[in-house]
Amino acid sequence: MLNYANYNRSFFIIIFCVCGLCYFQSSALADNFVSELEKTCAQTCADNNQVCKSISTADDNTVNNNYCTLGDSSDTCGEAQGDCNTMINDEGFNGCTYSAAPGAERCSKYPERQAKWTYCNCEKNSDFSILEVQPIDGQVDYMTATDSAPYINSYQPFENYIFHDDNNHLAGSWTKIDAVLFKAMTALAGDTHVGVFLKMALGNDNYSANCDGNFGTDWAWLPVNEVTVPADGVYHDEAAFIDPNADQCAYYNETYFCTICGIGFYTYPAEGVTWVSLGAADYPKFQLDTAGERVSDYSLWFLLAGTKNAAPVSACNCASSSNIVFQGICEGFCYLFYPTDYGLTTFQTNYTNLKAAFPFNTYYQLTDAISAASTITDDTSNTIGIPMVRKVAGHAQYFMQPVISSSSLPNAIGGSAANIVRNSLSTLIWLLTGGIAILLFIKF
Amino acid sequence: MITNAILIMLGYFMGLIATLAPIWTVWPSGFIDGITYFFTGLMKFNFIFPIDTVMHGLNFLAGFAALFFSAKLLIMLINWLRGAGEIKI
Repeated sequence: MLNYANYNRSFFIIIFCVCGLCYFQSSALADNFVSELEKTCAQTCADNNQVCKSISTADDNTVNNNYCTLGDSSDTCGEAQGDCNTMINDEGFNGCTYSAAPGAERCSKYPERQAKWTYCNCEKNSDFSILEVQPIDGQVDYMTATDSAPYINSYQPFENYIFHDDNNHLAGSWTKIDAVLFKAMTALAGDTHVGVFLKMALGNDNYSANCDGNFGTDWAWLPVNEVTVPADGVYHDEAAFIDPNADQCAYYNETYFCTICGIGFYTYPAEGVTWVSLGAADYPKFQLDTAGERVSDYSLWFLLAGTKNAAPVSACNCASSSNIVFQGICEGFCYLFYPTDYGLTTFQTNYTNLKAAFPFNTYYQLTDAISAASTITDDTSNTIGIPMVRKVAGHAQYFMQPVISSSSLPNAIGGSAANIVRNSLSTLIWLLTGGIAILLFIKF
Repeated sequence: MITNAILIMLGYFMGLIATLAPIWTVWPSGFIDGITYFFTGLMKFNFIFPIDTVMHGLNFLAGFAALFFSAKLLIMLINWLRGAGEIKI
């Protein structure tokens, strides 16, 4: 029999909770609404002792994405090549101009001939860690690893990549680091990997890097003086311009090519070479033989973009050790336990085939679809808006008024507290997941 | 060498199973595309709630369920083969 007293009490409690929740939600929304309207990017960032910067993520080069950083807001063009090319809009910096004219080289910095690059084929949105930088002969290890990355930050009309630096190691200056964590992001839908490039100063011959979540270590030496583009790479042939008279030329089959800064990219095939038609055994190789020859960052981007889908390269290298005992142990360990590319590729290929076969594909097609969705749009920069109307020049204009954005919660409770809230929610979700798994185990 | 041998043997074994297994697909491609689009749309709310963690949790649960029930089925089959049990549906 229904107990009406308990029923009424329960109903009251539920109504009370719902009303209370609505009240607090509406208050928070209103506060955020006001703060969103009143605060500029600079003010928002200043609250967290950071500065506001803008990054171009649109094809028309308009600045449409502001972000906060601990870096120096007074970076000017030329001091940091990456800044120059990341912030395409002239309003974003001073002293940088662009010209579409061939040969106009503005804002380009040329790495030293023997500077060394490494490349990591990171999964999109994966964390990219520089695990270790080992000194040689007591030399101090310096490296730069952010906006100088040519593939990610160079201007690409149809592909906009964002290289998010969680530790705020900004571009341009050579920075001494022990370990640093980056996050590889991209705005290009459907692209599952992002090339991450690191530039090392002279004297560094041994370091390791890793893309979390990737299959094995996936890095390779790519010294400037000899760059090979694998045949299975994705070529970007729109980024080169041939000008034998310019001093930033690289050398390819007795043909010089050069690149220019900014929006003036020219097509290499116009000079009679079609990169995408190169066969498997005919890798384009660039050799800088003469002292003083240099290759620009854009040339490197052009070259290294082709390694985006490159196969993993073995990283077990004991040759640089000065201790012969350690070197012997290292080489023995490598020989016994370090898999070759063939072993990794064989396993990976067959594993992929097994996943695609029935009945395994019944499971993997679903999980892969979910994983693909989570990697395509794993961003935290969306906004929820409500439709509003306003009077503009004598007529009504409908627009979406932003109510909640990624900055709403940090504005309300602070950046650190917002991170704690998000991490706590994640922990709760995992606890719930574990509970469901335990229930499955008990009930069945 | 040791890791290599294990990897290659496992790889060939999986390749053998993949070769013998039929090329059937339970899910229509439109259904898979729909799931991708649905979760891609859902991920747009990641800025306000850790949807990515939910996705990982779902993947974990799906993997756990698949492994758990596969193991139960296998054990049931082995017991039936040795006459110590029965297969209940």
